[in-house]
Parts: sequence; structure tokens; C-alpha cells
Amino acid sequence: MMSDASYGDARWVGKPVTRIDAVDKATGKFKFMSDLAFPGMLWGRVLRSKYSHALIGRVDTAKAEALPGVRAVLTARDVTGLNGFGIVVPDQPVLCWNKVRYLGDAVALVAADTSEIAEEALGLIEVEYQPLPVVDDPEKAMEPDSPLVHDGGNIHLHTRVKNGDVEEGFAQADVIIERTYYTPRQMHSFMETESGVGMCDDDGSITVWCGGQHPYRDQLQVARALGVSPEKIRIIATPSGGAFGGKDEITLQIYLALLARATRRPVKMVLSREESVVAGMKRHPMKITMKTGARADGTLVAHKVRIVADTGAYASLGGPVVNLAVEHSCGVYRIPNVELEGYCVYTNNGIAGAFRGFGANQVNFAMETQMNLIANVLGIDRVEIRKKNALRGGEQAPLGHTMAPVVGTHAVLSALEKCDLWVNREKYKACSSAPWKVRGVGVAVEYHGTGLGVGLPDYGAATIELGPGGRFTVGVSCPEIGQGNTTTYAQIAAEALGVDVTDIGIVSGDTGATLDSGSCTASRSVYTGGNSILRAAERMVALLREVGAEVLGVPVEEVAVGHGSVWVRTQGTRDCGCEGRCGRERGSDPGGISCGPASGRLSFAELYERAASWGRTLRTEGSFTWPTADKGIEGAFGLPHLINSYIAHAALVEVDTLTGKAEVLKVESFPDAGKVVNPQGLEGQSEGGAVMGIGYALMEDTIIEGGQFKTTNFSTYILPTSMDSPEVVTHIVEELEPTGPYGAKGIGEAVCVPITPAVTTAIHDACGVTVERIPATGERVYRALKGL
Amino acid sequence: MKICGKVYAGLLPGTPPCEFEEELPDGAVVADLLERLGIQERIYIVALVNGMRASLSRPLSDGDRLELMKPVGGG
Repeated sequence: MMSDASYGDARWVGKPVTRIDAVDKATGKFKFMSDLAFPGMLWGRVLRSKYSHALIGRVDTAKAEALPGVRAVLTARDVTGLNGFGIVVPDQPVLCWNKVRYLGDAVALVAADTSEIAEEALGLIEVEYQPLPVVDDPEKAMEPDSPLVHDGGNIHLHTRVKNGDVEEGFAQADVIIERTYYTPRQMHSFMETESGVGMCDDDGSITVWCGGQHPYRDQLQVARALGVSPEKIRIIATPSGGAFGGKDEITLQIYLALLARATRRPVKMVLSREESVVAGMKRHPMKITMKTGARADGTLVAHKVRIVADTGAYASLGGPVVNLAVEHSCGVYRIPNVELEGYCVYTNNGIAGAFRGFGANQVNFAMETQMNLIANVLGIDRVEIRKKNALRGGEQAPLGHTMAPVVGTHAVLSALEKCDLWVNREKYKACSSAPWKVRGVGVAVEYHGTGLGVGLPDYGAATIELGPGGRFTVGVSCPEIGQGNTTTYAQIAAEALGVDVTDIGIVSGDTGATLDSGSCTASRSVYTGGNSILRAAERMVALLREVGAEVLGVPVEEVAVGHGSVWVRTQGTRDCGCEGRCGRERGSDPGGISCGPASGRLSFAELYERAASWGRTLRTEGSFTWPTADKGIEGAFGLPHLINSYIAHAALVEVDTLTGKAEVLKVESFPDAGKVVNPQGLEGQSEGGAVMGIGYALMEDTIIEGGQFKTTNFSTYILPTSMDSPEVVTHIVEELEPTGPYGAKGIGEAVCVPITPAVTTAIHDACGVTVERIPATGERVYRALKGL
Repeated sequence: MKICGKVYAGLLPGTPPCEFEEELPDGAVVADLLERLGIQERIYIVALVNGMRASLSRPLSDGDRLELMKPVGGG
């Protein structure tokens, strides 16, 4: 449910335009990667490790190769390039040759005529293992005598940031709260598991269809593993049936390319849910110790944080995740004295990597709980203490950099404190549904860094091409992963070109058809793609004017563009600056304004035909690079972020004191995403994000014991269903981002972050239990209630 | 022709990010610049020419600015 939506005066931006893929998805016409089929297609399978930590001896594939219907069996010797992948450090073997480090490790690949034959062949591959001690506790993994997951040591990254004098700060404090928090290994739970098809042409060129989040980087990783030029690899990463960060790293792309090259036939792979759970990324479990000091009036004076993150067997983006956790561990607050450190540690517990929120979820849960505890001890209103300490634009942040001019924290908190749930919280709490049930209301706030940070140029690009019928094709490589960015791109392009949104077609996620726009991660897709489209559109308008002038035989200055056409302005008149959008007819205004069609008019369709007859393609490109913070943070690559999204959540929770079960009854969400391009899209993000954050707070955890997965499907990994989803009211807070397309910025991650502490602190408000370990299952809350 | 730009961390082992300015012959491509700078990597590398991603076979023009870096990710 959406309230107080602001649509503004624009024709397309700010309007709840129906998703461009809605009808096809609703009718089942839409084809996901797992729906693809080609003539002569084979089925691929992966032989995964039998142990979570072991040395590999002999690998014998003879029996599998002899099985009728088997077309290829590949092992490490068939990896002709670098036998490793990983966005930052290529420490994960494509196919293991001497050691396995988790149960998802790949040892061999099979391609066969049917999936059943491929499955049978996996069972015929003989692998000799020598089991090793399992490293399953990140704290113990850091001890000097721990068995090593990697020869270089078990600490992948250690980041430390100091500002001010933290001990002096604590000396000034009237209250100090110190707690240790534990967060679970949340699963992305995308609807479509890792799926795709690889195909190899006669010239050795390879095309891989596989849902991903950065096709151009996938292209480089595939090329590196195969030892070929990237130009020989085409990656098509759109569409994807969900990703949430879980498809940011390589999933199947290299396997598909290897099998396609070996068989010279199309090869399809679709992971079962069980295989996806074992092999795929998860959210980093973290142990977070926070010590926070405040004066009696609530002013924060010191904050000390230690984060230990379990990244599992391989690095992937574990380092950047921990860095972002460090960056966000001070919350939205002004704290003059801080000492923050984070460890990213290897274990044999699966693998952890990118996940919506990217390290912020864990520390936001901890920090917002700290703020509640401080408010309670000091008797200060929970919203008031947040507003008192919240950073404003241009202030120095705890990491030492200067905040961007526009900071939405106060706006989202001010909106929250006026909402029904907060204003009437005592009324809501007074009417529990049973005598043994108690209610509480929690609040939390977050800023979320968008883009990749300050370390490297964060770039994007877009193309626009005029086609038959006057339709434009817009190309952006950021894939559509289900969040609706292609619809947003169409709206931005339609607005900039002055045409109907139905006149825009979007191509995304294809290295063969788009320029590199970077990743669809870091809440960067709308901001990067949108800014790139605006620049390409500006050039397209200039090009249309130029070609129009040539066709119409008049100087460029006399040509106007808009309403799907170019035309000659009437001599002695002027336009009103609307580029023809206002539709004012020639001569209708006594002031001599002439914006509408005059004589000498050419539709975009006619312009295309004329240009095509000359053999000319009307195509433009636009590129964009993000602004960055005024200084980096030494020893913390990629920090800090400059442009943030802001959000506050209020949650009403009812706790059953007989069972400990908590139920979320209502959520009010206050996202500041700058200008909202599509309110319907934001509403979807807001509701989906809230439910994901509720699952994180109350039920989700991939349990791994001794390196063995205990929750391998949705029968044991408990997700929120529609029965667990409360009413979510989304209130748009639009603090326009001056550098964003029409003032927009990203919101895809923040929507799932402060909802978690809003829920867990509502439990505290209801029954006095301070949640320090999530998920706050019924058993945990019950035991805390009973002091067990 | 004169080409300038920046090499980011990781491409030249042991070398921090550094600005460069090079004189290259007409017809030079991005790969020629990598050779001149002593950068060994030819696959897992991102080259931006005037802010836009370019292949290593992309011809260069006088005055181009390049950013050379390893691919990254983030949130």
C-alpha cells in the first residue's frame, strides 16, 4: 500500500508505469534461462565435493566417459586458462585438483544427452579424498594453530579505522552499552536457481546465457578461465529470476562455456534447489561486539566495534562486504571518537558473498539495538535520540569524510514520527489479540551507501538507436534481475526523448548488444543507467535536430524536436522551452510562442526511413562516472560512499509469551530514494525488502554444522510466506539527489535493512527481551523470557 | 600522440595508483599502452577511454585519457 505518492509534472518520471515485462510474466510467455532450449542440446551436471575439507588424490573418469549418452567429462586438466575465479581474488577453483574446501566445490563436469544420464555419470566418477580437519568457527580459525583453509592464512582481510580518541570519548560518557550480536547465514532464495545454456560457434566463439549481475565482468572471468580473448565470449545475463547479490559472482558461466567448447553443442544446466543451497553464496554470518558511549543528554561520544565475518571457503566479495560493514557500523550518527575493525575469515562453512545490503544489515541490527538500549537507559524518546545524533549534509562523518550536501536522515525520521503507528503506538500496544500475547513497536533508521565507493571509477554507459516506426532501442548492460530497472530505464528515456514510453525498447545484460554499464549491484542500476541514458538522449536529440535540418533544408537552429517528430520553428516566434511537449499550436499564443507542429514536420519514423535510405544509423552513446567522496579511508578499499539512500522503519510486533513466537502485524516504511521514477516499482521494492528483513529477523538461517548443511531446501530453511507478511505502508520521502537522473538514486538494498532491528526492538518493547542473536525464533525468545 | 591517465592498484605489482602520460605512435591501441606501461594482464582488466569501457584493440587518439584497473564489485 502506498501513501502520499508524489507524481510531479513530468510525463513519465514519477508515474506508476506498468512494468514492461508484466504481461509476459503474468501470462507465462516470458522465458527465463531455465526455459531456454536449442536443437541438439545436451545437459550438464557438476560433481561436487564429498567432503567439506579434504585433499584430492586420483580422479578417474573412465567409467563415466564409457557410459552411453555421455558426451564429455571434464576435470581440472581441461581448464585451459586460469583454474580459478573470484571477483577480487581468483581463489575458487573452477574444478578442484588438489584440495576441496567446502561441499559445493566442483571436481568434474559432465555433459550428456539427458539430465538422467548426466546424473548417472556423476556417480561413476571415482575421486580419492583424504579428509582434513574442518575449520568451522571463524574465531578459532584466526588462532595461530588452526588448520588452514588456504595456505596464505585464514584471515582474508582485516580492516581497521580509527578517528578521534575512543578511550577519551568513553571517559566523557555517562552511559556505556557493550553487547555482542550474532547474525545468521541468510539465503538469497531467488525463485530461479542458477541456470543457463552455453553454445560454441564453429569459429570457437562462445555465447553463454546465464542470469547474472555484471555480464561484462562475467565475460572477463570466463575468458580468463578458458584462456581466450574476452572478445570471443558473449554473455547474456538478462533475464534472471531473482538474484539479490547471489548471482553477482560467477555461478555456472564457466562450466557452460567449458562444456559447450568441449562438445560443440548447446549445453544446459539448471541447479536443483538442494545443489543451489550447498554451492551458492549466502549472507555473511557475523559476530559483532559493540561498545557505545553517550552523555546523559543522549549525545554519542564514543563507539568501538569489532566484527568477525565468516566468508566460508572463498573470498568472492567478502572483503568489500566486511569493509562496508565497517563503514556502516556507526549507523547514521555523528560520533567523534571511533575505533572500528573488521575481520573477514576463511572457514569450511559454505561460501558467503554479496547479498542485498552487503554487510550493512548485520551492523545495522547491532547499532540500532545499541541506540534503543541507550535511549531506554537514559529515558529518551527513541526517535528523538536518533534525530539528535543524526548527521546532516556537509558534516564530517565518523570515518573522516564529508557527507554529501543532501542527507535524508532527518527527513525520514521526521516523517516516521508523524506516522500512525508511532503516534498511536500505545493504542496499538494496548489491544493484543489474546491475554498471553503482548505487543511492541520498534523503530530503526539507516543510510545505505550506493555505488562502489571511492576506490575506482564507477562507470556506466548507454546507447540509444532510432529504429523502424520511430521506436528507440535503449541499451544498458546492467541486467534486469527482477527489480524492474528496465521499466525505469524506459521511463527515463521516454521523458528525455519526449516520446511515449511504449516507443522505447530496452536491451539489457548482453555484452554483444550493449556497452559496459557495470554491475547491477550496490543500488547503482537506476542512478548509473539513468544518468548514462540522459547523456545518450541529449546527444540523440541533437542528432535528430541535425538530421532533421538536413532533410528539411533549414539551419539546425530552426529545428525543434519533440512529440515524436522534428519540425521547423515558425520564423519570428520562439518556443517555450518545452521541446514541443506542451502541444501548444502555432498561432495560439498572442506572445508568439510556437511549440506545436508547423509546416515542415517530419516524424521520427519518417526520419528513420530517410536516414536508412542513406545507409545511416541514428545511434548515440552516453557515459557517466560517479562522483566520489573527498577522501578515501586508508586501509579500507572502496570506502567511503558519497551518495546514500536513507530509510526508516516502524514495526508493530506481537509476541506470544507461551511460545515466544513473534508476529509482525504492521510496518510503516519511509524510504528516501531521491526522485522516485516509478512509485509502483518502489512499492514493490519496499514490500519485498520488508519481508526479506522480517525473515532475517525472525526465521531465516542456513545451518551448517561441522561443514555439513542441515537446511538444504525450503522444507527446513524457513522463509516468510504470505501468511507471515504484514501490512506494509510505504511513505515516499523525496530528497532529490542533485547528481541523479531527475534527482533519483538507488533504494534496492536499504529497503531490507532497518526493518530487522525495527522488528527485534519491537520484541524488546513488547516483552523486555533484548534480541542479541537473530533470527529471533520462538525458541530463543521463549528461553530469554524464561531466563533459560 | 599524447595519452594520459591513471593506473589503479593491482595492475603493477608493488606500485600504488599512479598517473601517467605517454607519447605513442599513431595507430596505437589500448594494448600498446599496456605494453608501454609494463602491465602484463591482458584479460582480467578494465580499460576506460574517456570514461567509457573499451576493448584492448581499441585505437587511441591524441588527447585520450585512460583509466586502467582490475574489475571489482561492491555494495
